[in-house]
Amino acid sequence: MKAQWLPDALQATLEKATFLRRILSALVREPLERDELVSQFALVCWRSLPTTLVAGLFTGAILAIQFYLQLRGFGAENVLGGLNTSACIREVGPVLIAFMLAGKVGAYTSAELASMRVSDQIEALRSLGMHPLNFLVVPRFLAVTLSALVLLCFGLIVSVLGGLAAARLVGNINSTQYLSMLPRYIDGFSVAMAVIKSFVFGLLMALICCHNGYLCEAGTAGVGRAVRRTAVQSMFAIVVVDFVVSLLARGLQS
Amino acid sequence: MIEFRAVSKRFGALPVLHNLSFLIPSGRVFFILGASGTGKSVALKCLTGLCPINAGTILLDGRIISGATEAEFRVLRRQLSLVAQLPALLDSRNLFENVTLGIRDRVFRERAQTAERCLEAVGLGELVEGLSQTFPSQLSYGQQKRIAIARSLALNPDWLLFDEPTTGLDPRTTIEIFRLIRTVADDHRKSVVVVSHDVRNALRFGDQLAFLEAGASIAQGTPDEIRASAHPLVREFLLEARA
Repeated sequence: MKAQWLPDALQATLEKATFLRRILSALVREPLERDELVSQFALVCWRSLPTTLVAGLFTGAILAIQFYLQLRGFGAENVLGGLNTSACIREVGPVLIAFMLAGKVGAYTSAELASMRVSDQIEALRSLGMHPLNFLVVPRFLAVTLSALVLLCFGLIVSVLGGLAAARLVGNINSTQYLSMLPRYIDGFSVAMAVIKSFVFGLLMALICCHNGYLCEAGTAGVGRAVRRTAVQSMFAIVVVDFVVSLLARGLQS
Repeated sequence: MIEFRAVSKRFGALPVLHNLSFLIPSGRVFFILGASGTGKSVALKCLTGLCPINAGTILLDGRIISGATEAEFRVLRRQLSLVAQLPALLDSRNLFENVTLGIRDRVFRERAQTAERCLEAVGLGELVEGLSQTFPSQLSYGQQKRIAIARSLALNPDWLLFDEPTTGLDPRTTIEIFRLIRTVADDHRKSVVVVSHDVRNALRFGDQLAFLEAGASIAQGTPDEIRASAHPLVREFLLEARA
């Protein structure tokens, strides 16, 4: 059987790029729906903050336990704080929290837009002389991108606290010991990379969920396919882009 | 006045409108009738630019609109407001937001006054009080249809276009909706086009009627002229309406 995944992936990427161009064009040419943007931003942040905080807390804690078990064998528990925080901020935190957000915010936004498409609500907006992409997609795209950045930052901060709590619980390492090694492992560049990654992940999630939802196929099965595509494509895009950004960061740092 | 001049539309290899030509005078209630799949709804979508045509010309007050860009059609759609077959209200928005969707850039006071006036016009004046607390899912299907009409009326268009406005409604609500359409046309001086297959009510509430068959117009005239038509398909429809 001929492998089809590569042409499919290329086509999906091309479609997303075209859709991004449409969003940016509407953003430049049409008036911004400020009320929509503010309400969507507040909605996404409010709904996803608890999930993000819990995900961040446990990510930091789980990593701390794993690192502690390895470091203990070498008697290097003193570097736990630096190592764990570095891993959380640079890699694991942004990826895991982005996964959680893709499952929650991405799936929700995609399902909402897809339902509007299949129930003719988007067509009704066109009939009223409105620009549905500008009214529905642009505010959601901006809200998901910005809120993902904000939520990921919150999640990363909490992941440090999770690591600290787990270190205390499992290895009886106090906060002074834990935090003392941070400056050796974390610098401005690491934090900047975490913020850049969070922004890029948020942008990818926003683009993927808006595209799949807004251009969903007809029928209830179309809604299901839109949500499934959003989940799969978001996670795939996050890991691939994480790899690329990490490589670039390594190049820049060295 | 709206004029279709030899308009053709096909979806892939399937022709839907075939050299369709007719005139729709302003200030009247004009019914487009025909069996399912004859291109009635597509004609309305072509008129409003929701569906591009393949050949021919559509004119509004002597001006060609069929080649307009999407941005130009957005302006035109506020003048030619289409009430779709399904109410398609935004289910996450309350009724006030739904009714004033097309005029959301105006100040609140103006929006509130327009919403009240439009709800009165569609016979839902009792909903004005709790408009911001009521959502589409709390209404019956007939009420949702009325809200969809109010939403279009809020734009104050010159033309109101109804695509199968009574689909899925019981006979009593069907009559109420047709009566409402007639009232809106008379009281608010709107030109109205209704796509329907309900010949009996079209003869009762319409000023002019056109019959479509295989994407082309086969008969057009006043209710009396249609009653006198000798076209076999029109006769068949009239017989069905009498039954």
